[in-house]
Amino acid sequence: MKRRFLSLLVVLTLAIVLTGCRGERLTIVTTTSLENSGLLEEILPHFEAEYGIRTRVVAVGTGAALEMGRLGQADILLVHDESLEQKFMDEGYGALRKTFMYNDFLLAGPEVLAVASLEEALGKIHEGLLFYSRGDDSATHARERRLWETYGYEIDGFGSWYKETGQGMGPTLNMAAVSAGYTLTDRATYLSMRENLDIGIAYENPDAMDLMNPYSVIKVSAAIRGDSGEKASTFYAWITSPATVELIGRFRVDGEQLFKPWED
Amino acid sequence: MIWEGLKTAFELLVSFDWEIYQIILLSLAISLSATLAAGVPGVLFGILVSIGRFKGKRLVKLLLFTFMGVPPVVMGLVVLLLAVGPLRPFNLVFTRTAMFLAQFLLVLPIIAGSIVISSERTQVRILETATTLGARRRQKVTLLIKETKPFIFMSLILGFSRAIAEVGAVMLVGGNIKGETRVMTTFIAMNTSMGQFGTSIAMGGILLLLAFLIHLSLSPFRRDFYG
Repeated sequence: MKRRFLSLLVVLTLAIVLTGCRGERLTIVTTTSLENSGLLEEILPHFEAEYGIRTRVVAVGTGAALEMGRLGQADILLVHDESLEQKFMDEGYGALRKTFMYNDFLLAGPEVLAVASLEEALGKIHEGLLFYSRGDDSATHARERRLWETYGYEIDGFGSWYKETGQGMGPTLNMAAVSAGYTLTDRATYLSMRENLDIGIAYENPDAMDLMNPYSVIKVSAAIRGDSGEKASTFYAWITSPATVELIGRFRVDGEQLFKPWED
Repeated sequence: MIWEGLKTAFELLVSFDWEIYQIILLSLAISLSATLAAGVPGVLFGILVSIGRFKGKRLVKLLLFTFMGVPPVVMGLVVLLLAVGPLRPFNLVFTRTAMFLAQFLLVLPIIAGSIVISSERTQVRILETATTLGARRRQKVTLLIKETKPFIFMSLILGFSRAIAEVGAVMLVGGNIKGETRVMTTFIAMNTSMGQFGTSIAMGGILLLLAFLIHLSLSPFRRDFYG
């Protein structure tokens, strides 16, 4: 009995170890917002079927994604912070970069802010509504800081109504929902969590340049990552192709379009 | 990377950045108080289970040992659900009190269970000897606590180690809010997710250093343990 149990344990361990190193896959490191949206689950099977290339997706924040790229742990990055992306390219870590889709940021919260503009919305929150900032140097956090600054606020002087969570979009939205707070979120994450959370759209304006959220694909330089053969290039060409961009535009959650194709 | 982390750790410590010290102090305060608070009922329960002869003892022990392994994140979830549900009037969501509560509950079965595991036989033997020698009830209790001391000490050390090291519970119920509920482990998790591995490993080093210093300062008092 004991021996049988032990051998079972050994077999299980071996199975786990062996499945871990089966075949070379294309490593795509992406942001949590993209992972949460379910878009990749929808479109990646198309890619895998067409080219016979297996992929694995690692979801972290944009900052960590770029860092993994620098450490040579990714073939492809899907990220959304233009200035950080530019820095990554300037430092020579990326071979190719292209913006391929976008959506928008919105303010989520317990009540609709009856206001005419983003400026008024921020003003109303600043009067003392509970606000959760990502506080994690993510793309969304950077945008939120920029919005406050654009409308003349000094974040350093904010009182205890302004709370920095240092966590991802999902956890931060969650925190806002359970404690009746407001937060800036990308639309994809909001839509993917809306059903489970007691939180709604407090302010939105899909046409505002201020709130636009463009996503880019980066192919990590072969000198950093090592040669992945044609796989990474194939993926880069595929995701920026008109057919794929159209596929992305057709992706819906609860009947809502999550990402719009980027037109140069 | 690790070498750079150690350098960063040194820089963090000598920079006398109040935020860093606040994080370290909060970690210590919450985990220490949770361990000590759980120590009293935990030790009592552990001794009662050890020496008790009652129906269903096997089941109680099984449950106790099971709860020793509750994942911190599950305990955090339970406390969070309590805080947004029945305990709503107390405004516990994302507070230090909630963090204390979660760690208290997490550590309680570890303290009680480890006492049972380590000293059940010793306790039963002591009790039998005391009874044959005709000791009175109160004498028995004092004797039992005195003889179980090293095991109590060990159980508290185990509990504290668990509390100071866990991230799941404090992240969920505390929310890692800057200047309010950020502790060492959530700071490490946050910086890692931000790609700042150097700062993370630095704080990890500080955490280990603190644990070492705690053991070092305890060692003169418990030679039976460290000698």
